[in-house]
Amino acid sequence: MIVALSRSFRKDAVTLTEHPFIPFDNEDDSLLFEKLQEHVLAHYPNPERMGCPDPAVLKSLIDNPGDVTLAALNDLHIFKCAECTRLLLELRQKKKQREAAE
Amino acid sequence: MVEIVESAIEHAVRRLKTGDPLGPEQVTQLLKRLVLQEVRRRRRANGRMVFVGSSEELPPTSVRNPQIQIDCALDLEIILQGETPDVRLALLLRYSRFRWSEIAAALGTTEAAVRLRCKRAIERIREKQEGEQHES
Repeated sequence: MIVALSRSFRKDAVTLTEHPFIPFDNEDDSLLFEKLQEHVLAHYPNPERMGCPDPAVLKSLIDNPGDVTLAALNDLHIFKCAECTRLLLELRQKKKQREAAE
Repeated sequence: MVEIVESAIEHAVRRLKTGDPLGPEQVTQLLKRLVLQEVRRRRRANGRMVFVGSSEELPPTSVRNPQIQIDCALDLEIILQGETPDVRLALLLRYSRFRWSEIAAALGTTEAAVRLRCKRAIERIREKQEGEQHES
């Protein structure tokens, strides 16, 4: 029902996956991963960027996800790094904006 | 209290930068929610802090940051131990806000197949996350 409403009023509605107040998860696990991001941003500050992959690798992950290896990403480092998470979200947002503009 | 509010504002700014624009009422709600979250987070962190010497003595993780003094129950490196590299990569991509269909394309498989392979790991993450929420 909420999905339908969200789509009907697309112009001024925030999307289901980005809505911060919906108390249950949706079909594609977006809320779960959003909460994980919040958790990592809050609990894993890494201002010295220790163990971080090169920003170019993160950009490549966003632009060509099939070309990046786990080794280049330092395995699951991103799950324990607020800085990498923040950069990833920014890169993803920029990519979406570029795609929308095209 | 000032620190809590400052932290909530910082989180709100990040959310507003990365998400769709929100109206004044939604921003107010968001701030209230983030303040409550921060209060709960600090209460939980204080309740769990165990002094065992320096954090530099703890086993190394991918983030060797001695400033981290809180052992988080929701530790994805531990939860995902034993998962195959393609499941790990798929979860990293989902975490990076790729849709399942995009992840399937990147890994050269179908959406159903990639979701099935990640299902068990996602269930474990969800269980841990729900456990965290109940504790708070």
